[in-house]
Amino acid sequence: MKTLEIFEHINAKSFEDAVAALQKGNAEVVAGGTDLIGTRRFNVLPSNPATLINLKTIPNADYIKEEGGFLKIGALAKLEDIAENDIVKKKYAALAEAAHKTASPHLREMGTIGGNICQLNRCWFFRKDDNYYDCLRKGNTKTCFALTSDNRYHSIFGMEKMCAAVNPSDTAPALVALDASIVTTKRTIKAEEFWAVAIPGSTVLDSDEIVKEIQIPTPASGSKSAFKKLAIRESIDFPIVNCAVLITSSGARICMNAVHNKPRRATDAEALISGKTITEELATQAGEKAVEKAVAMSNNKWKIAATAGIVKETILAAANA
Amino acid sequence: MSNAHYEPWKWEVPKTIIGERGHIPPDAHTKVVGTAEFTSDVVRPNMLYVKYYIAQRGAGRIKKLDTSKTEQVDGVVKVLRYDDKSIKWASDTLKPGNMTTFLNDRVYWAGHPVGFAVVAVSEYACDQAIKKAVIEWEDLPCEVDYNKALASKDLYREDINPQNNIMDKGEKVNNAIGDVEEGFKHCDHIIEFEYEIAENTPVSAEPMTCVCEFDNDDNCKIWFHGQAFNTIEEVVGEFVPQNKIDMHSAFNGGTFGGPISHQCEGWTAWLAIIAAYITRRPCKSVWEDCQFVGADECMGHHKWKVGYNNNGKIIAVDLDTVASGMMIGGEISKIKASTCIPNLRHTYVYPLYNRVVPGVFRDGAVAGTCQNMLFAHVAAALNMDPTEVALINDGGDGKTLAELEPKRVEEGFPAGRDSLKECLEKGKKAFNWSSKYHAAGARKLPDGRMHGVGFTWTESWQNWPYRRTRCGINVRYDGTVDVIYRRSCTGPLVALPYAQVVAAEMGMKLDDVIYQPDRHNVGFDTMSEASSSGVATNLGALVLAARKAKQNLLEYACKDAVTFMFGMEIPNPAPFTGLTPDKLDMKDSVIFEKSNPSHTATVKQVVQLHAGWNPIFQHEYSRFFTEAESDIPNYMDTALGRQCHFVEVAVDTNTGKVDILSACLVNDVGTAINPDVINGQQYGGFSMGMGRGNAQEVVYDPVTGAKLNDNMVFYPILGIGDVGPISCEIVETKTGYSPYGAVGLGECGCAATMGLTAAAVYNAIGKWVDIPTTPNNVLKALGKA
Repeated sequence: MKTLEIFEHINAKSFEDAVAALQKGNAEVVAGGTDLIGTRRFNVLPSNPATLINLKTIPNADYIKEEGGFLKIGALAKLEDIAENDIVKKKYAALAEAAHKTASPHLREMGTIGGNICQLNRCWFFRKDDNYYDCLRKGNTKTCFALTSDNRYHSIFGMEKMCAAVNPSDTAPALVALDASIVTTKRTIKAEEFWAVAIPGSTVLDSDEIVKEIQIPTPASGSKSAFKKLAIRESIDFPIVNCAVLITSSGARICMNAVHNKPRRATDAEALISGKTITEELATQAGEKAVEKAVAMSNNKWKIAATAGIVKETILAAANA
Repeated sequence: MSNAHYEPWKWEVPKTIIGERGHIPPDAHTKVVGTAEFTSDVVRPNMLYVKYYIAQRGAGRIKKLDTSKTEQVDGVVKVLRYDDKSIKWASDTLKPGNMTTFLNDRVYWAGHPVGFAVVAVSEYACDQAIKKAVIEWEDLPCEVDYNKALASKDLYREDINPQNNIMDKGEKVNNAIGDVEEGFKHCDHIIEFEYEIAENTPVSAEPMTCVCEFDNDDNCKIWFHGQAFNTIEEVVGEFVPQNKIDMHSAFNGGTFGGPISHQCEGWTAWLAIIAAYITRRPCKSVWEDCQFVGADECMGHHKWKVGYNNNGKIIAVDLDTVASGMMIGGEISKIKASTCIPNLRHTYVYPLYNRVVPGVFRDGAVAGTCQNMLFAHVAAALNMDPTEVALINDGGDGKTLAELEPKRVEEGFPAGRDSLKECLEKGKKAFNWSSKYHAAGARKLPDGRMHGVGFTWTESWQNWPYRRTRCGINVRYDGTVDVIYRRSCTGPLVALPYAQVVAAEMGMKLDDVIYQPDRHNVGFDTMSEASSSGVATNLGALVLAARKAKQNLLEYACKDAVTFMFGMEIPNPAPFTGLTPDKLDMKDSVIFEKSNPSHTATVKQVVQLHAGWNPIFQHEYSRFFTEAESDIPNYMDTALGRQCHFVEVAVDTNTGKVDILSACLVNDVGTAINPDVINGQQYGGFSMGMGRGNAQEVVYDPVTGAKLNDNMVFYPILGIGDVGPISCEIVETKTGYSPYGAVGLGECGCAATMGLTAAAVYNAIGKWVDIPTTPNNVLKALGKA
């Protein structure tokens, strides 16, 4: 078994504490650790910060509550708690289902919503152990190895900053579809604008910025949402593609993930179904619309079809919820 | 040499204990609470760790290896470099897995241990030290596509073949029957089809590991993870006499077939042995989380030409394969063993390229899949129920069941038993086949997915009693019994069924019999007991030893004892003095007179009577040690027992996802020793088979030859939660060549079911899909990619 490099471990008592520790440099935060520890253990990156700042010791940061027209979720709320929360299941079904479909029961009991949306991209070149592929997301080359190799699970919507990796979060598309905002130690960011192609990160967060809370506006009465995921395994897996859909009386929000560097809204498909009665034919058209601008790499044409299929099925699931 | 008089299938099955459910395995508690000792748990005083450098690239040569910084890492004791002439390596012939290129300067596949290994005080120090090595590589041509390799002028495995990229090619003569060309002239139809099976890899729950230590007198102890004990003893025998070797086997977790046993476990043990010998300290060799070092047998392209009649009778089969590795028996071995198809031919090419060449395979997945695909295609072409096509072709060695029957009866098997028919009757009923089977593409589920069913059948893995095995039985001073045998725990639970056999044969209480879990220093040459066909191989020795032990006890029960103490002879009359052993029997660890059952003595009383009045001074209970060796029966090379399996799937034509809704597994085990254990093997084997058939594929980078998914995240091993509810059925036709007509079950459930989802997906969507039936392959078959 590969062993972890020795690191310094600091238990933060507050977000302010954690930010102060980050600002000293050569440090990073850890919540559930389900992504970060594996990344370190397998030497995915050329090097790792010497200090880990533990956020789990911050009190009262794992709440799930409705307040002031929003569902507010503390960044340290466990995915399993979100999946099993009655309010979330009833009013924010897409998020509950997305949390439920994330990883396995053990990982959901450890993983947090904050960590889930901040995880690094899931690309087998980027993730290859011992930093074998020194890819551009590690800041050392200008090459995306997916261009010349097996890219069956890579982006179908082109590359951003020459990277074809995909964002693997299950909760991310649900948050975008539900029009959530991410509250950090510095600002509030619309979920749709939260993700980015960074080195090596996957968000717009500054190096001393920490996610504190997720805020989701309470959907209008009669709204329905759903989440669907295509993966090889039911028991545990990252998505090949996933999708979340919110349908309201006046419109729809559709977000796909694992199809691009960032969660991607299918705005053309939203326009197609907005205000209309959802039929199988319309959902099929919307699925096709969602991938109209998709561009296959050498090995992933099938993924375009699969994405159209999952969008269709999620729209139908939301309509029939 | 086989023995015509050794016919264990005629042995009478004891009326108690064998076949009973509900007994608790002796290792259940420690396993459930997590205290069972696995090899990786073994820690010895002053122990060191040793770890290979593993090449990530698929090809290359070390031009320069700088380990100066490696050696300076705190805790490093020794760096074992390939070019260190001072190291006493084992001879090449004993390097496990035919690895003459092992730990050398040349990389032939991703995952190849090359260059050096680090011995250090901790695994952490090993990891840190390996990172410090600086290797200057010479890039060499790399190819992971066998078609390109076969067309290339570059050489990828010049160590095996310096002429071209072919390891072997030709015709599998030992599986050929009849005249295929002639057969094609005399059939109603001919179909041709082809498909690809992706490479999958064995992965076990516990990473490979081994602990070895030498003391100052060159006594050697080894805690070995794996099956090939004898090979490892031969390796150690290069350093110390074999009678100084003490082998142990902790629990191993579920290793499974193929290269695990002959390459990875050998490499692992070898490293621990070398390191321990050099440092004179206990050394534990460790790999990473799982064993992605070897390819499995399943990779390859299969091209078929099949002639058959309107009634489903197959007349001629011509299979041409380009496949990776050396299959024992080959792709059509199961077809030959279990059908009456009169004309069979298999031609093959084994290419050489930058993937590991598997050393040896045993689990038969490729052969099981070939049989599955052959029958599924013929049934589909005829639009016939595949179970009917199976029945009409059942047989062995080109002969029908009717033609085989006289020989079966002559050999002493029950007349008129039809294993496949009995399996089908049970399985079809349990699976509700009649309501689930339909024409291809004919049933849509309410949720829009397409419904499909798959069926397969083949022989039971029965005919493995070709090795003599030996075991000992020791009756202790307190009347308890332990069975002494070499153990290698590769997953199947055998401690309980083996104890059941001994208890039943002797007339002991099951609780009084223990199959000793970790005794190896017995010098017995055995096959590993927990493997492919442990029952078939080992049951003979167990039964014979148990019978000898019982006879021995009954004789002592009739024999008066004399105890010598302080020069005095103290007579002790036997409980059955004046009687002969044939007048006695045993039940529940009590010896009794058959004509007077109230006349009894416990086993403990008899043992203590003859072992002396005080065990501190007299240890004569060794007279209650017995041992026996099985023989090799004179048996037909045709299989009589059958297994058949059914699966129900839903195919999402939008996404390509194949969900396994339910399954029914039917195994004719000849005689069920422990039905609970059999069911466990069925459940586990099926989930493994579904993993291979519906999920797993090793993916390589064609540029570097690196494996892209050599971890548990990207390589999707299926669990029991991925395969839906399973109905397990057991058939007992007593048609195996082992004691009681039993057959082994160890791996056949996995091996036989790999092609099932492909057959079921065809039934769902009317398209044939490559294996595994992953969304990309399904969508490609649907023309969506």
